[in-house]
Amino acid sequence: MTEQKKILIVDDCFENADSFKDALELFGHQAQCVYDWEKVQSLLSAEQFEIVFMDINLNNMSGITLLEKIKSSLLNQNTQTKYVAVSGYSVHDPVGNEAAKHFDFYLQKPINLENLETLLASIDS
Amino acid sequence: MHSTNNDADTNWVLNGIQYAIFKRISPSLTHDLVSPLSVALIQAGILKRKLKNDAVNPHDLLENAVNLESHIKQTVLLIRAMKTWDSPNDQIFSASTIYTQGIKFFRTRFAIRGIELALVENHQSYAEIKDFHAFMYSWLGLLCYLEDRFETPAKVSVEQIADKTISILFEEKSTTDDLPPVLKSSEDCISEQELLLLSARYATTFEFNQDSILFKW
Repeated sequence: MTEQKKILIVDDCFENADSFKDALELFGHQAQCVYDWEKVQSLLSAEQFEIVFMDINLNNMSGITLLEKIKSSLLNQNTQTKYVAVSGYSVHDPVGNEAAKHFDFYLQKPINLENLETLLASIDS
Repeated sequence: MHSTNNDADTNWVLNGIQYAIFKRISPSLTHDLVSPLSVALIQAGILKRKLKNDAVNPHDLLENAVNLESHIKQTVLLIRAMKTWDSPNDQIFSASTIYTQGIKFFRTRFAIRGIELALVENHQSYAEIKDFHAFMYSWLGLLCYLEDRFETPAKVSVEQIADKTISILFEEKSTTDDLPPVLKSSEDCISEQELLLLSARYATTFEFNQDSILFKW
């Protein structure tokens, strides 16, 4: 069991985001969902999260582009936030492969609790 | 009437082009399937742990079970939809549905190549498409062509300007950014020539200009 973390989930699919939140809360973490990518930058400027899980196939925006925008807007802030790409694409697909290069970690869907637990432990270490 | 060897050859070439387009979008099709499956797996995992930990609140467990069932049902529907997406022309769709779906398939692919895809939504046609294949393969072929075309980052604006016309405006940006390499012509690249073959088969039209393309059907 890892220590409690403050986690943000960015996904425009409510069901995916909410279910992910349930899983993280079951592990004892404090999770918040944001369904509208336009609100992510301002939220991250105002609040510090230890981990951000981001779907890379957002409506009208690629998660990779959004991450670049976030990183450039938070350039002068000392942030230890770890960014995790969440995607149904395999890392062998060009999209998954490129996302894996931009994000700190890559979580491939379908997600099961065991994989999620292992990932959280590796972020901790 | 017998087809000539030439016709048969052209047919094989066209089938090859369609297969190349399908191969390009198939990861996006399976990607869509994985989402409800992911929710179902999470719900099953939560249910299992609650039972294991004796945290049995019948109302909570029922909620997890209902959620699990509904996402498995959703996955089944998506699997069935995959079977029909390439089916004969008995499907009825509006142009807007297919064209928005195409954009969704390609947005992330474009983004990793530094291509910004802007969708201008001034005109939406809900008119039914009579020839589903003609429109879908021509449109997806055009998106493949755009993905293969740019060697530097670019901005592509897509706008449906009339009931049967889509305008694509593009602007290349010079940059030194390190982008993944474009497809070489020996790979499954969709060039102008392949698009013209598609348009000849499907009676659609591509008008190529220096900074724009008009797609009509």
